[in-house]
Amino acid sequence: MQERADLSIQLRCQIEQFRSDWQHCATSSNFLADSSSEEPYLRNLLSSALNELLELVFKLGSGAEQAALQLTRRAHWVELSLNLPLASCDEAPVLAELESLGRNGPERLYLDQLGGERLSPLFGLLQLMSDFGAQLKWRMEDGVLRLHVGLPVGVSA
Amino acid sequence: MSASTLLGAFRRDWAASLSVRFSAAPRAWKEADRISRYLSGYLRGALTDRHPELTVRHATADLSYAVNELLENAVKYVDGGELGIEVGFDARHVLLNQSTLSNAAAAKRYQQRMSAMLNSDPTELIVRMVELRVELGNTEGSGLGLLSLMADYGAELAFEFKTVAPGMQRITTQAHLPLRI
Repeated sequence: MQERADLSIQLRCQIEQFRSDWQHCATSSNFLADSSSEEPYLRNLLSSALNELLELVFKLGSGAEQAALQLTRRAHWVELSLNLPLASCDEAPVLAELESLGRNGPERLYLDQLGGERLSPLFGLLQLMSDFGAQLKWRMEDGVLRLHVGLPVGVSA
Repeated sequence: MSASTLLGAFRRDWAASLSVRFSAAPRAWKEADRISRYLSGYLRGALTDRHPELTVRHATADLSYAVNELLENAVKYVDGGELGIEVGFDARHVLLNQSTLSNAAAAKRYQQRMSAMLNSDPTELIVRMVELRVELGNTEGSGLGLLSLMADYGAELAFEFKTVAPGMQRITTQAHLPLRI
């Protein structure tokens, strides 16, 4: 049975505006994390996880459209949902990598990338899955990548 | 279809650059200052890039003040938890929508007050409110913050009251804040 949501916060941003300053990733993730919990460990964890998703908006988001990031806090999970319109040139490589993630699992891809020459934009997600046990679901719909990250928090928020 | 009542020149011809929505307002109201600082800091670059003649101080201070006033005003009428704010621009204004769920009785009181406020001179109303504060010592819910936005910052206000469920309304308070350029 799904746990009742204690709190939900949604941030919507115009992507071009968001991409005008790299600092928007950090200030927005800190703002959302600080709004979600008063528990320092959880705030740190959320800030890191949110930052990874917001960096995807910066790296992959498409122009004039809007991205939406929602944080839902439950007793033992925090769910992060990102709806991100992708630039058409990014769609195929991103989907290929997500499909590879499904086939190979996060640990192998994480280690491959650590030993490789360049990190993919999705490396932060691999890190969340490998280091923090995050569960990832995704689907592509009309040019919009819908990512859902379930993050076990293990402590009462 | 949901019933909707508008007060003032409620604008729909703009898109938000940034919006934040909380499911639980009782926590958010304490955070009005933090939310306003985040929004104004985020949009500072957009404002000063678009209008180089606009000082950073004016760009951030005015926006931060307006967001803070709208949020503090909203929590007096909130019922059901949800609270949101969205910010955008046109050539000469910052545009803000602040939305809140409220029970029908509180929404009706708010609508009556705001209607009276829009039909009055804000400067005269401020003087009257300050006199009342001296006399009664309590002006909670007087709308002084909104009046100050109108009188001191030249903001135009508009409102939408929309029935979203039996006995429940979504109140959207809209501010058109002139840029000091």
